[in-house]
Amino acid sequence: MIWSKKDILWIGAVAALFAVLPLLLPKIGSSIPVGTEIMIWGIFAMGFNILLGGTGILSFGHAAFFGLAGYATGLLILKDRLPLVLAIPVAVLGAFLAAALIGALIIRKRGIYFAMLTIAFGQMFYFIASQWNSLTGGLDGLTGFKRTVFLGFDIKPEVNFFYFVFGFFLLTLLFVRALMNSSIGKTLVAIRENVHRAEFLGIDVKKYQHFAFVVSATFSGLAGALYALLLNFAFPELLHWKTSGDAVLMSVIGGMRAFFGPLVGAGIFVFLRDIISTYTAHWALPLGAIFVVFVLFFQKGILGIFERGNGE
Amino acid sequence: MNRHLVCKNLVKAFGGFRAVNDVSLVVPKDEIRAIIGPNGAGKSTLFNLLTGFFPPTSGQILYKDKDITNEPAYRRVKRGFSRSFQTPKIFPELSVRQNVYLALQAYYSRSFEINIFKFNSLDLPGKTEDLLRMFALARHGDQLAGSLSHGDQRILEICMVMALEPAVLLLDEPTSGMSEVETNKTIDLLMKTYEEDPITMVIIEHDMRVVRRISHHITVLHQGALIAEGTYADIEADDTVQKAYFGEVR
Amino acid sequence: MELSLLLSQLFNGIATGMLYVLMAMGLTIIMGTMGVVNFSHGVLFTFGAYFAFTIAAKAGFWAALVAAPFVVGLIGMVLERGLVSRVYGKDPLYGLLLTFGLAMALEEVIRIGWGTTGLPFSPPDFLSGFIDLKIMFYPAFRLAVLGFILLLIAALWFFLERTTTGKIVRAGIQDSVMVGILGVNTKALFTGVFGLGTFLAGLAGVLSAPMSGIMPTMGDNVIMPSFIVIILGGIGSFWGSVTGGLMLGIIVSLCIQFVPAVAELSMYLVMALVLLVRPRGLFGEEGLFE
Repeated sequence: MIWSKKDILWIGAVAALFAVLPLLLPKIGSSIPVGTEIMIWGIFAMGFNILLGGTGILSFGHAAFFGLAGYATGLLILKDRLPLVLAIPVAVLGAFLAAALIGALIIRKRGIYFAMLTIAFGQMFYFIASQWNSLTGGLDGLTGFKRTVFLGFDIKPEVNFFYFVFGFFLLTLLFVRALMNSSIGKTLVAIRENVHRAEFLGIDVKKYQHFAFVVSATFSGLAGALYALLLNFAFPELLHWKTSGDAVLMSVIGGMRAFFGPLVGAGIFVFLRDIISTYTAHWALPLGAIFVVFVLFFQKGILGIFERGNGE
Repeated sequence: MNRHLVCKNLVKAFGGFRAVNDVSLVVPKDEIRAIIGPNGAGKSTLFNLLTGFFPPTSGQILYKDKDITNEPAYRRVKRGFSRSFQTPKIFPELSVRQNVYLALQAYYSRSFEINIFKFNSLDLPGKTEDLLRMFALARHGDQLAGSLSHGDQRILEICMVMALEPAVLLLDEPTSGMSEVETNKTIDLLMKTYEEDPITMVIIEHDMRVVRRISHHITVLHQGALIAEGTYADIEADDTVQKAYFGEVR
Repeated sequence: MELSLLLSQLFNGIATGMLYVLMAMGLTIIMGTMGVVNFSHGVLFTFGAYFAFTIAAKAGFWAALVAAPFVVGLIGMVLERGLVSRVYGKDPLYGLLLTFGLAMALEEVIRIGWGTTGLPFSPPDFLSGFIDLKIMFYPAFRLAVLGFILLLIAALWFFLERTTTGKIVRAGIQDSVMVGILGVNTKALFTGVFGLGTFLAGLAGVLSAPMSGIMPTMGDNVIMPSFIVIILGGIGSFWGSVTGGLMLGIIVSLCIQFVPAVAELSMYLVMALVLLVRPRGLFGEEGLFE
């Protein structure tokens, strides 16, 4: 069984919570798109955390794949070129291929150099998006596309789109849990815990690190495609390293070592941003401060405060 | 097979400093070879070269007559090399049980790379318990590996290293920091597994009682070079060796 | 291609490069001594410009030039004592994460303090015109900045090479543990180095203000190039920062002239190339972060 009973219970509980969110959110003064956004960032962060929390590798460039798929989705459904049911997979495939290529190039570098390389590639994408006016709309972003119909299902209304994203969200939870339960996931953890010992157990470390990079980037791509459809808009900031930083922030605050950590982080991020921004536009200050506190004192994040230190 | 593990004229230079200076060894199959020498003799560096931790500046390494000089470490492990380190390399934030499990998983992965589903038929958890019992680690099963005593961490590492069912076992000061009781237990265990299933072993050791008890043949290194080779009796009587250790002949 | 145009772009490149050198210098001594990748360097650069604005409004440009960098250096030292010092010895990625969070929060502090729109900042009157260099006319202020930073580099070189404190700093960059064993107060050294590094960032900000205006995001445009400079020149290397900064400044300026769309891109391509082919850069030490 790739999922244990406990896994099914917890994922079921979280799924049930999210399933009723469209009813709860308006009651607490929020809105359905906020819930959709939390799920989308959840997909981004949970996929990203396969690399950070699971394998122990920090990337500041995953927004490149997030934004790439976002732009690709927009461009593909612009002027009805492709139906949505094809556009999304193609966009995600684009992110997958880009990650496979870039990953192969940079995975041999360690630690800080690797992180800086991811920033370099992310910024390259950012600048291409902001300069290539004719294709991407430049700094103003890409407009003129709208989510319409997916396999006959109308996803224009907020509620419908929420449940559309919910499907992908559930699949993400199940996939990531299964992956980390499997021997592949355990190998990634070994690499995280002691890369030399992993090597000396006969593990092809580079191959697995590349795998983690590509898989996490593919989820970033999926999230990006959905985000572009949420906003009906794609813009260069989606590719910026600060957006990559948001995923890092969510994973760290929520808890890198806990399965639901990044999701908790995503929820906190979106809520804090939305709640605080009703009082002040300067929500980045408390968010940044909280992040600093967690980096210094609670490296295992919020969920880490509750869990015993027993790996993943 | 008389030339199981061979190195020819191995040199490892760091800038101008030659940590390993033209060392040649021939280790026959199933021999227990001890590598001794004063501190800084280049023993661990030699190990690093043999196991692929880093490449040599020049020279050759052959395993079963195949040139593996530039092969990455993990490939050598897949061929049957297994090694422990001077400071045990284990997974500190995982439990002892998870540590051993990972070693077994890595061993069995060689046949089933990414086939996740075949794993359930192997009963890895059962095999993990067997190994834990064999190395007297069962009572520590749920403890975090990093919280074990130094001696127990060494034993854990040896357990993991043996889980790989190696053909060539390289141990870097396996009894360092152990009490006499722990040392005897560890050597007993190594000898027992050797008797049941002989393998080639290369051991860096400082403890001469261990060397005398366990080794078939000894290689002495000093300042990166090989200065003597022979049985324990040969080495004991060798003036060059005496001089290397004590600066004079005693 | 008019010679005067080419030359003035070249000078622009050197001027921008000089700013990169200042930033890189500060980054590299922090990275080399404490192993911390200071992502907040860009924000501190911005603070320099904003403090200069406030001080200049009351006391004029020259007061701002002198005082603002010291204020920034002081803030740097407080940050170091209170926060940054807690990640010493840990995985360098924690330093990266910490300073990233700091940058995020501090940039917002600037918006709170001075608003979100840009502020004007003019150079002192006698430097606000153009100088006739026979082959071309060139803005006086930029020329002054060029000269000033050259003097500063010389002063820094003298400090590092000829003074005892400077030698201790250099030794600390080589091996901060050893320096501690030899009896140096590493706590004070680290705080001092961080203060010096951030001082340089603040100074770069003051000098940059009249040339490119003041904006909350102005640090974003310099932080990445600064990292590229130290990667290009080599972490912990004095001449690496100088050479790297000049090279990058000139590469970017020439790109802006001939292939403007690619200008920013070219920077990142340089970084990627260096990291892939020769990660230690031109003058760096092997294996520092590898």
